[in-house]
Amino acid sequence: MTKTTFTVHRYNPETDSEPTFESYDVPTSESTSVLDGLFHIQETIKENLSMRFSCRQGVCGSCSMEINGQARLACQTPVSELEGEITVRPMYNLPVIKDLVVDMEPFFDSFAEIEPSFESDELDEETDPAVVKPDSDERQVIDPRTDCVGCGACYSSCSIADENYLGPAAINKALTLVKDSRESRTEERLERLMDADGVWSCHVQGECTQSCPKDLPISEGIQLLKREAVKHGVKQRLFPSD
Amino acid sequence: MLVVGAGGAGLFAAMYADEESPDDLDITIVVKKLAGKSGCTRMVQGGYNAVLHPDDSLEAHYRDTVEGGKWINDQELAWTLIENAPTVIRKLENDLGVFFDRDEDGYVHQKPFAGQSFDRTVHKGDLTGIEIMTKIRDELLTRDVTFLEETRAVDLLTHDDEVVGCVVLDMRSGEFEVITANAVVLATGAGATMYRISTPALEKSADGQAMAFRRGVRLQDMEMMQFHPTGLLAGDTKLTGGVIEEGIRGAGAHLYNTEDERFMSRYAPEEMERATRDIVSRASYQEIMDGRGTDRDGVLLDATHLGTDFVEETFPGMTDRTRNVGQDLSEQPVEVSPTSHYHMGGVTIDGNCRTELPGLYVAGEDAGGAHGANRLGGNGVVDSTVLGKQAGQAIASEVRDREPAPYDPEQVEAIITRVTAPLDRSDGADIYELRELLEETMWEHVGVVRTEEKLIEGIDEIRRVRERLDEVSVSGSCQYNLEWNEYMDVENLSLAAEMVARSALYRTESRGAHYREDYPTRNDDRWLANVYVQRAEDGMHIWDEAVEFSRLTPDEEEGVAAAPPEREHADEG
Repeated sequence: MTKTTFTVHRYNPETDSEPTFESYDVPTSESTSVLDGLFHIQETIKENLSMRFSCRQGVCGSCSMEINGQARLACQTPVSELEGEITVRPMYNLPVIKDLVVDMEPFFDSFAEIEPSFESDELDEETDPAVVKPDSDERQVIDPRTDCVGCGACYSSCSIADENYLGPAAINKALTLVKDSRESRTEERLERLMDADGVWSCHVQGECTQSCPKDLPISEGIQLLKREAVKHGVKQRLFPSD
Repeated sequence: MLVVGAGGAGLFAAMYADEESPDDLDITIVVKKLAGKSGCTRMVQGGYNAVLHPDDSLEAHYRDTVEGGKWINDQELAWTLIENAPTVIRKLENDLGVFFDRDEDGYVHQKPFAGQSFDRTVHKGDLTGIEIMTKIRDELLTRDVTFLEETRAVDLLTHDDEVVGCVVLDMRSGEFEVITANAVVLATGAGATMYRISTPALEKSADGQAMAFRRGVRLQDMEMMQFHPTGLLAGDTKLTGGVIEEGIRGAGAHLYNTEDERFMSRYAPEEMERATRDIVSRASYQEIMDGRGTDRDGVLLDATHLGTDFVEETFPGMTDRTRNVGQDLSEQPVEVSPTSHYHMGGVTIDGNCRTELPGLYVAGEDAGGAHGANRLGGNGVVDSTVLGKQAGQAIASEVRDREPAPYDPEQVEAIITRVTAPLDRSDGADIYELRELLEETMWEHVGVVRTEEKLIEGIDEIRRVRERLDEVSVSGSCQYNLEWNEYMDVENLSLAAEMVARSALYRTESRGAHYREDYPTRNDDRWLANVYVQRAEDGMHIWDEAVEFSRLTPDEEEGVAAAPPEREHADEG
């Protein structure tokens, strides 16, 4: 066991006018994750720290936070991977509720914006699932993009994320629907994505892909959608619908 | 309609209720974490058992399920699951846009799982749960459903033996609210986390089971807690207990004790490491208890002879998980232990998830009956989704005209007084120490191998934990207070733990997940029966009733007595 110093963002809206950073010495070993360190502060040092967690296995995406300046899942970040002191603060671009907890509502609101529910004109509960070959073009594009855990790390890392821009995760979700041949609302979605706050807001800095704990090719996907949007725009110009 | 819990069961209940009654049913979901991001359906790696192939049949899936459950399943409930599973698969793919893996010809791929007579497990890689839960959450985002996140249900409100609503706590603001409802669905996912080593998400704390018990609703087969044989041991990290999937044993990995002995040869010489979960769990537990375990109380799972490249390519998720904690499955044996995984027991319900208490419905792992003494891998997510569907549809048709009676403000006051008491105390017992004590007690005394002596000691210890809850003090204010949240979790967990221990003491035989060293054999003459527990003035009333073999009788199984067991009643204070 060695000792690692955790410097943690503390903010209690009931009593604090400004956030502070407090340091704690945490015993760590090769298997200790940043989340474990925070649990130690909570349970042993008795700091009654507010943080969010659930599955502790990288599946739920609840424990995302900024660790040494990078948005990561605390449960998937071994302390041994980081050098020296560890600084932990809440994710950027989202309002802080308390300590390390942010309000995820703006993030999920942008999912609602792209109408994320699937709709098919041909399939329903009574029909057999569609035949889709695993090597088909759509599966090749969709598959690497469906393991999003909705953690918000991409949103926290994005230099232009604000209440106007849809944000990387919602656009990634939209791509999986646009490319899905079973889905019926492709045109409608592309219209939405062509808006000023849609795909064209992305400046291709690639921070979203860099920070994604599931290694989803998010930035590349946004560029793919830009291409689809251009094609859609040209088509609309040449063959305007009624 | 109020749904408590936003895992698979809760979200499916809300979705189906909305579909059946889109205009006139007001649906609210309370969840103590974030919507769709907590609970067990989210964590499903394996898959979903459903009859899709023409060579498979509902009857075959049903027989596998009842035989797997060692014949104490609620047969009608089990049939409901099997019959509805294919419909829900089509719903998931065709209405929600879930993408399951495909065979080369493009049809849905189905893989083999233990205890199945046909390869019927539908999956998406080893992240099936993320796919299902993300899609249903996205679906509900566009529907008229109210989500109250980080809001925990504290207790049910009743009037004249009917449920009229629920007291909830907004964890962010620290404020209590009363939500009145025509119907309440409990779908909080039971409490396998009551053990020191366990697989589920950390927030699961038997809230639904405890709330139901406190209102006098009966629960059944609480002794039936499934242990998965290979939970990763990683020292002091919270990752300890996470599953190393059984696919690796299927692929040929071996288990060793610290004397370098492949010990399964003594417990299951033919099947070895491919024996069923209960047998492998028991063998490992015995090795550890007999002193042949590692310093961390584990055994060694060795896949190195399969080849580093093969392990890394075939099981990348598991390899990563072990590397994260300083081990490497592809290059060295890793330490594993049985880990508490799934609660087959729970609230007694019918095929529409109704309980004895009008207005109260229970779905998912909070409910008992469907899986009997042992759940087959791949039937868990069937349980959460199908029972969610049943509850949602039943509520939409049954309660839309029901006017709930007014709630009793005194009942509300009593509930709030009870749970806020620790905030008013100083220098009391520490809730995290009590949690640890409870988990240790369950592991040592109510674990994989049980005896009368250990169970009696365990019950005494659980009682002490429950008494000491009255001395706990919690620091800080009501707002986003995790320590206070932990207090409420332990209150519920310890209540469910006592039900598990007392039911385990009552069932004097070994069956499925319940193994009694002092009664090591399955006794069909006496115990083709369900064990029930219900609140009584002096504690817990426990009794048993014969299983009703409404569809299949065990006399078709070789060596099993056909005679129905005698019905017996007994009380446990």
